[in-house]
Amino acid sequence: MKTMKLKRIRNIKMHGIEGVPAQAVIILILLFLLFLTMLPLLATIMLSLKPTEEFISGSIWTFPSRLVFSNYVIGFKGIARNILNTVIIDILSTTITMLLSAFVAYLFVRKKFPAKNILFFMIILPMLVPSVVSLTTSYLNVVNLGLKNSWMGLILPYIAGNQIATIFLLRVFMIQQPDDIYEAASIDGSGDFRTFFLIALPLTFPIIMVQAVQIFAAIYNDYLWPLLIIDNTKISTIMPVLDYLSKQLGSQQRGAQYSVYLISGIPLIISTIFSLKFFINGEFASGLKL
Amino acid sequence: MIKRKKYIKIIITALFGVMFIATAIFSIFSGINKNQTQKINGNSDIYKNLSAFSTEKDLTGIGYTNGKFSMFNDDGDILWTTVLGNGQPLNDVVMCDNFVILVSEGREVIAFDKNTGDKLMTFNMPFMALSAAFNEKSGVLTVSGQIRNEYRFYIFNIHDTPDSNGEINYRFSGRHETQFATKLYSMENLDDGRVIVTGGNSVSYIVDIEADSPSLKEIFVSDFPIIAVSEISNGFVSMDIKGTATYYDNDFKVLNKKSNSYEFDSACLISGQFVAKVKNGGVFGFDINRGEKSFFINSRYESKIYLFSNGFLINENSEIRLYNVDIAKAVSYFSTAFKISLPVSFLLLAAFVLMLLITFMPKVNEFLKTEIIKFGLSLKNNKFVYLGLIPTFILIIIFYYIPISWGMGLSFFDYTAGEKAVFVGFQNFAAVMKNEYFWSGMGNMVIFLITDILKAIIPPIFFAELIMAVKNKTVSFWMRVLLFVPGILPGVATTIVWMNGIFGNQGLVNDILIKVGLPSYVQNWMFQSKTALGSLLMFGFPWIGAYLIFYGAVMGLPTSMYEAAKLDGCGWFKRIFKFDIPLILPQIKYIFITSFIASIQSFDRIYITTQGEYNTGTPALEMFFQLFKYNQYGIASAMSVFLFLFLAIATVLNFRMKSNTSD
Repeated sequence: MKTMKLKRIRNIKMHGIEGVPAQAVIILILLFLLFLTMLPLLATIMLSLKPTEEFISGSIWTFPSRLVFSNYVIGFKGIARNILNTVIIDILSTTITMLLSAFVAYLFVRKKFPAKNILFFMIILPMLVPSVVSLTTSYLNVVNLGLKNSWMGLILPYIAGNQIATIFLLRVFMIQQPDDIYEAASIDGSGDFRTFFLIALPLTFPIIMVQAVQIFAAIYNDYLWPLLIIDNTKISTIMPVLDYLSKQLGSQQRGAQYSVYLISGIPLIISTIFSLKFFINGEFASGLKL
Repeated sequence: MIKRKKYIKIIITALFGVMFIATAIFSIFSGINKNQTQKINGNSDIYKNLSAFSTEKDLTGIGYTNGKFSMFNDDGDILWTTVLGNGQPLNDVVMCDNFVILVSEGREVIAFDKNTGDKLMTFNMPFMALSAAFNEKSGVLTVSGQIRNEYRFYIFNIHDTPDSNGEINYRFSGRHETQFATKLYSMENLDDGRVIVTGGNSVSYIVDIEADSPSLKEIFVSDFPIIAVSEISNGFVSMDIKGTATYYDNDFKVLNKKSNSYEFDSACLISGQFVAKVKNGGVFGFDINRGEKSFFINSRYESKIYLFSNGFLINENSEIRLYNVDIAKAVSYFSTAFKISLPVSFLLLAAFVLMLLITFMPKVNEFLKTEIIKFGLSLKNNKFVYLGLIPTFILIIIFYYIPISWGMGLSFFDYTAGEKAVFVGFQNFAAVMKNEYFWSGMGNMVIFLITDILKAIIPPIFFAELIMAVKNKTVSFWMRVLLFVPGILPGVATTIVWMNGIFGNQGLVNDILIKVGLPSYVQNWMFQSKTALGSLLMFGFPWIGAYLIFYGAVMGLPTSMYEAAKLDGCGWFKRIFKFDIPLILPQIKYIFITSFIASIQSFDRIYITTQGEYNTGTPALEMFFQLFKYNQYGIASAMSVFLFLFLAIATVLNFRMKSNTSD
């Protein structure tokens, strides 16, 4: 990259991919694609501020004649509780998953013990069976454990499911870490927990954040499992309620319906801001391969 | 010393032997008792074409689908017979102290003398009559009726003192033209003459029959339709279709709730219990006073269960089983006892055999000793590691290994959660073979699969390369930052916006068509067989997806290679195809596999939008419906077996393809 920069200063090219015309075209294409990608979001913002009567006839793709911010009040009242439910469930599941997986990955990378390979194989084996195949029995399992209509019926399966891929991923990253540090730590008399928390975790932190944010978003966006497990909208997570609410608000308060979508995105906005710096350079990609 | 040890061993062995014999006997005893039923009157032929049933001490009344009704005595002899309602099915039989009330679909509700069959009273029914309830103390008779999609109910007040002609008087107290959009679930006649009706949208009404024209008063609203209500000493209790029992005080304020993980079809109050037909078969008893489950009785279909005032009858596979509450409780108890005692007795047998071997064969003893010591030592030395692995393994075993292995077995059973598992052989598989939605969805699944994988690989690589090509670092950075922004809209919301905002009636596509001057093409793109699938495939356009992975992968490649390529005069496109793509193949494989699995799992976009109609269904969605809507767990499992086979074949082909390309 440095050499490229130097060249740019030296002479302005007019042909090739680095030439001015090509760059302009590329940026235009990118802007157009960016616009298309943003379109559903932009539309939602526009529609969320529209008065209900403007939905009734004709096109909804016109700018609102007046901005109805009260849509947001209605929307917020409808789902604040479910957002809170989801965030609690999500943070608990994600945190436990990450800690547990990082610890297990650490054990598999840094420890020698009998049956190590068999045990690791047992952990990753379920990855080969898509969860849709065991959906029926997973559901019945949760029912028989008495976890239907309880948060544990969501949290425990979330941890169980997400830890598998996470252990796999973190193990790849931890293997790349130099052995010397760990040897030094053990010579200095550092215990296992100490080594894990003070050396292994900080060294793996960027990829942990990347994975944590993805798990957070995946759980937040999960629709089918909570739909199956939770009947009661009061304790439900956000996604099934979102679908239900959009049908309920659909006819009378269309604007509020769209505001609900935006409000329900708030936790995702926060998590995205948190993790942006870990994602933006794509450095995590080196571990994502088969 | 050695001898003494041996004696102890022999005693332990004998103890296991005795315990084994005891549990085996108990389990045989339970096994026999779990099949007991109440005595059936007469031969079983009289139960053919049965549509209504009621029995008490020495009388049994059976109504048939052709409108016939026969009263039998204890020996199965016919006492009297009548035909009601022009051969329309007889829907309900209500046994009262002095008479029996027959309810016919053919607009007739008539009370007969129980023993002689003399007609005592005729109640005017302008509509099809479905069921009746009578309270002896208040003399209030309620009848529910239906015309097309309207449900109504009628109230009659019966004075059960015969007049000089020997005819019992009844007063026509009111006829409610109350319309319920949905099924009228239950009528409960209270001793004081009030009537509680539940139906419609989970609302219950109390009827004030003291007034001249009885009116309906809404008394409570529950989350789900209520199928039974009962008065208890300090208030009321209700049961809803989701299996939740709710206790109320006298003013219908909710006191507490008890939930059961069942879905019910209908329920009836029988000897202080709510006895409910479980959706897809089984009879569930809920003890009102204790607030807990009292029994569960197996049956394959809910349609062949008949609840009546003091028991219930199950009529299937030309086998008639008749229960009262006490027998049902005993049967339920013994089948649970059988389920537990059988495995326990097998375990005890195994322990007994093991102890026999240890006691009388010293070699086995020695071998076991050394092995156990070895195993124990290795556990002790690596205590830290194994303890650390325990939570992970418990979770994986409970939520993966058990469901996956169980799923294969379950496909051979007819199953009700926690209670019923009837072995049905290949019936579930046969049902899946006949399920047209499942198979017609296969084509869609393949279409989704191919397009999803293409969408996950080609546009993101192209996009990543475009961003890479941008020389200006600031532009590139902000482009990447902005691309995070659409991710804040939750997945379900994005799907709904695409469905309504873009492909809907007032959506963007139609808008553009009108502006372009093609108004004849305007339509709802999501809800039409021709366009629904195509529209679904366009969701998420332009599918930039996980471009960051490819971006990061290409950025991670050594820059020296780029310089070399540039010096060789390698152009942008050529470089992408000859250079980048082969080098980021590991990432492409990763995306390939993850999008392959995700595509098969993700039927939620179809579920949210078309629900599989307009030729957009997939096998996974149909499986979800079997599970979620119809509670057909056995069939759903059989479907997952089919899906698994398909996926296994696809995976094998995948790996083959991959190993070929890497050769």
